[in-house]
Amino acid sequence: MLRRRFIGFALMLLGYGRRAWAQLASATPGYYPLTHPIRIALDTVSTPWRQVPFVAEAVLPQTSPTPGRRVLMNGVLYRRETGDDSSALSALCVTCPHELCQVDLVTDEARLARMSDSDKKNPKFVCGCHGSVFDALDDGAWISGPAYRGLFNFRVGGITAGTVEIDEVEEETLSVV
Amino acid sequence: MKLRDLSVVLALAASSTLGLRAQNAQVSYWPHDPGTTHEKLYVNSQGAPINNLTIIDVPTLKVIKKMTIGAEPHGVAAPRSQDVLYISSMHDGTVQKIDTVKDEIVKVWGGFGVEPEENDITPDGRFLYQPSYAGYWSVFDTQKEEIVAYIHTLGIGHNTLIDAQGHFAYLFPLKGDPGHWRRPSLGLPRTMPNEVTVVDITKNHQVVGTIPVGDGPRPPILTADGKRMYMNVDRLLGFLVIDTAARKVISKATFELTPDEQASGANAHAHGIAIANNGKEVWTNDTVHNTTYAFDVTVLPPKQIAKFPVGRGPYWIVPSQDGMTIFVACPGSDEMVVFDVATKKEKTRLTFPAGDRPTRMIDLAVPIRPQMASK
Repeated sequence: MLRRRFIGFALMLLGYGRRAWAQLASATPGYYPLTHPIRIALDTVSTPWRQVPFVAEAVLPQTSPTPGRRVLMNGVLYRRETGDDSSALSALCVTCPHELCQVDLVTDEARLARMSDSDKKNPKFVCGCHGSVFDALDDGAWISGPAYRGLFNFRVGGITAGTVEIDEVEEETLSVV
Repeated sequence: MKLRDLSVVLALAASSTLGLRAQNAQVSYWPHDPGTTHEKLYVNSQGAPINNLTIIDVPTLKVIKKMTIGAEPHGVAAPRSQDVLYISSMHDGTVQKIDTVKDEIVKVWGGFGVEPEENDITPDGRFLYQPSYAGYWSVFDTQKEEIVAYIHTLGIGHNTLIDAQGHFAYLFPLKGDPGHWRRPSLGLPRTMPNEVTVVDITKNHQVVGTIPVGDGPRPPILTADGKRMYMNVDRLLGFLVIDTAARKVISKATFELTPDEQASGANAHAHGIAIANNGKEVWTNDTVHNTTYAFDVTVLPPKQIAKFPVGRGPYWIVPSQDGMTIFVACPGSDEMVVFDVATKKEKTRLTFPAGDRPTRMIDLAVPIRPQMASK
């Protein structure tokens, strides 16, 4: 009887452990290096919500189903708030994860007020095709619409000599866009 | 050959080559006398809270009226008479009947399930096939004003086509993805079909077969004789050619992409398909790369003959009644691009208010009968 209880308890612990691991893994997405880092002058993003577009490239690894395939991704870099450090910068892929249409940053207050999806009136990315809405203040987090997740993120590596360097992209981007 | 035989042969040839008008559940192409009809283009704007139906005078390309209909309008369908139009509202779950002579809403019905999508109607105007995201089609009898049948398919109810003969209805469910299923309260199916369901309208709306298409069905269009179908599918930048009698894919057209285009949107699909130029051409959109293509479909596989830059996210496309003008709705940039089919040149761009997202369209030859009561 004692042995059965012990085995049951151990199995329960194993189950909880697996679930916790899965949640941890999904909460921290992997990042993949770009072929060439994107470098953007810091003073071009000194004004909040002013976007600087860029095109990033990656080459799929040998372990992928299509090894060596070149992937191009459209991105924008923008500043959420004023300040000089990289913590206020966001670099997002502007391809909607739903059906790969391009999203647009909406800052116009009248248009934001028309959006019934959120009480917050901060700028949002909106997909023209099916209307998915993403929070520009929260690194493109999903707010509403058919997209299954938020916008894909690029990693801002840092600021060196007045230049912002973007060097990695969320790994999942490569299998979707 | 006797003159009568010759006329029969010519009529058959004409009927087999005349194209249909559009993608996404549009009615067939029925020849009309321009002197007795007024050609109008009806454009749904999915993002507009008011004035979400724009009516355009096709000869002049001027907006003649804006109307407010149910929120997030989706399906647009009209019978052969083209004096009425049925538009479904995703948000409200309703279908609205619009008198196209007066351009007024005359009736609104509910009860079509979760998010009614792209519908179609039999040529005689009797049966409206109305899909719901919940994975079924309601067959609505417009005379009795009641649903007379439900047809369940795999996947998420989305697009519909009824042939010009009123014999078969083709149902095109979406495969769906985690974005659809993240709203569990809607109970959307996860069966992810790669097939078109075929319904015989004349046999009490019975399912009589399926057409395997290899991936999730996307916008389709039929030729006037109902023998050939062109359709977009998931993960194909191009379109399939289907023999409807054999219920089989017989050919595939693919876009000629530049190296940079090949490196982006590898999992994308074309969206929106239309027949033009007396059935000789198929036009379709590359949503990801903001381009529209024209293909010669007199040969198999179809041959790419033109590629055009358009607005952002081209998603819906319809031809004019004569098949010689093409309208491409670009919701990403709130505009519509108009092409001349003969010269393969852009004629003009019509702009919509920012955020309106012009989407689905239908081009109708509305009878000029000002005193006529709607059906």
